[in-house]
Amino acid sequence: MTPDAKTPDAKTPNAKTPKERSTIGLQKIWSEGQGVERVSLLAVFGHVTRRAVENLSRSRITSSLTVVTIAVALSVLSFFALIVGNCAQSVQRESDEMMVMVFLRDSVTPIEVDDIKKELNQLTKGLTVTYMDKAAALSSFRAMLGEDSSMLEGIESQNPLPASLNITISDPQQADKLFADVSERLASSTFIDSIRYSRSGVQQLKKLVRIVEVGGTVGMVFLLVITGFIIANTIKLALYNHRMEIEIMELVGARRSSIYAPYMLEGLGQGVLGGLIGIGFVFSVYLLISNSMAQSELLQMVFPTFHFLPVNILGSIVLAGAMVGMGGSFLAVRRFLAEQ
Amino acid sequence: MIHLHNVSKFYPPDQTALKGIDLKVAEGDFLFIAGASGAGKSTLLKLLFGAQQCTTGEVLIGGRNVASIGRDGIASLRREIGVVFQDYKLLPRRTVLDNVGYGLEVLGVGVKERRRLALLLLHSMGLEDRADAYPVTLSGGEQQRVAIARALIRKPRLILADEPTGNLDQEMSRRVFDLLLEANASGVTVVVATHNLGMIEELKKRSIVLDRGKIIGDFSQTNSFRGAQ
Repeated sequence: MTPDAKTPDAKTPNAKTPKERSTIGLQKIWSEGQGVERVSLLAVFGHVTRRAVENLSRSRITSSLTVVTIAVALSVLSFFALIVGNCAQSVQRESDEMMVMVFLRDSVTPIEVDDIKKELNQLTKGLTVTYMDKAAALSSFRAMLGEDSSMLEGIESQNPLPASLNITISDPQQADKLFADVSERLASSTFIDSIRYSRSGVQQLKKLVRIVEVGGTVGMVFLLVITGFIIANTIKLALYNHRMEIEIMELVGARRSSIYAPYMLEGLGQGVLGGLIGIGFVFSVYLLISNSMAQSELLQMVFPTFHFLPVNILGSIVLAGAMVGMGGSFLAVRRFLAEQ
Repeated sequence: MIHLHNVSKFYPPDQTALKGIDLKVAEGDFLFIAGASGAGKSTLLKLLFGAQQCTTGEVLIGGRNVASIGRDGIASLRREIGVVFQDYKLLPRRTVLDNVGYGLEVLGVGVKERRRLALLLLHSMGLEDRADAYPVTLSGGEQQRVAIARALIRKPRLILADEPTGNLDQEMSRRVFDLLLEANASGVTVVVATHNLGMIEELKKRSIVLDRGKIIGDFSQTNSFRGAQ
């Protein structure tokens, strides 16, 4: 049946002439939009933040999984930092106990001792010079002997142990130089009986310090890379659900910055939250270890004192979470955009 | 406005999507691209908004070579083009209102203004009652109209529509073409890839016919498309 243009209810394409075509007033809508002001940077930031929060709340499960992954990865990293840090402190403490000992003649007077101390303190920075008189030396020796201290009976009245100046240096790497300097400075002194220095002990300690430092750094870097890889892949999986959205944004002409920004902010939030949770978890472990130390001789031996991570390390962990979160999101979005 | 010079597009290993296309479309023109499925209509449109790059030849839009303007240039170009995708490409996590407003969001228009204008357009298109709905709850026809609304929320220099009436009944198709004609009447260049031969015949606009990647016919407004067929 041929459509009849004269029929009032005809709905075929030929039913209307071009003059009868409907309009919706596009020109009016466009003209209303022409004078519209573009938003400020602050409004853009607010919009990006709102979009990031929306993304987080709409993908609660994947967002939670991402945060948990970051938290687990960073708590492993934090725990490693806790152990390495305390090991380093223990070794450092040992090194503090390594001393150059300057034994004094019995004839030396307190004024002369003060003069020698002053002279030693001028040698280098970071020195601690402590005076141990004859009585204190004997007392220390007795304490060191413990149950065998009875062998000192009979000689205590004459006390053969000399008074000494015990020099410690904060940087064990400088111990060799210190010994050389002290020997040179005091070589001609008539108040000095002898100077002693446990070279082999210091050498071993230096090696240990080096091992802890290098091993700890390599371990941390390795863990950081693994952590970054795991987190980046988790974020990529989480953002997989958003790939169509990312594609559409690009096709409609969104600026790259406005495509990246909400996802990077979302990653930043997840990273910071994951970092804080990770630190919280490691703090629980720290409390557990601290409370167990009184009952464990092994722990006391390994860690004479056990401290939590310093503020700068805690800040670095949260920062690492933030960077990895943002970086992971950036890489994921870039990958999706590259696939278009 | 559009100048394609000896454009070819090949897909590995040996598929030819377009071959030796020469085409000029002046500012303010209305062009239909007709052809069977697989003829190269969608590929041609993708070249025009930089979703794909031609293998050989040149694609110039407003004097800019799409191949050499870089990512930022393409994003800038797309902000001047309203694209109506065959598969709508609506943002699934945003409401109809926000989807339509997204056409303004990419231009940096604030949320209040873009919602006001989007609502105005939706009202004009009879979709105001769907403003708060999410795309997944819409019919195909409604999604298509929302996609068109997003393309028309601001005045583009060029509208590219890939089968804009593919999922619509005749009456709705008419309304969609009314919108495209209204935009064209305001000076917007319109390029529509379609199977809707009846509409091509009725509107009497310029049309080209693609077959296996080649232009086999270029029919002016006065030269009847169906008659030429």
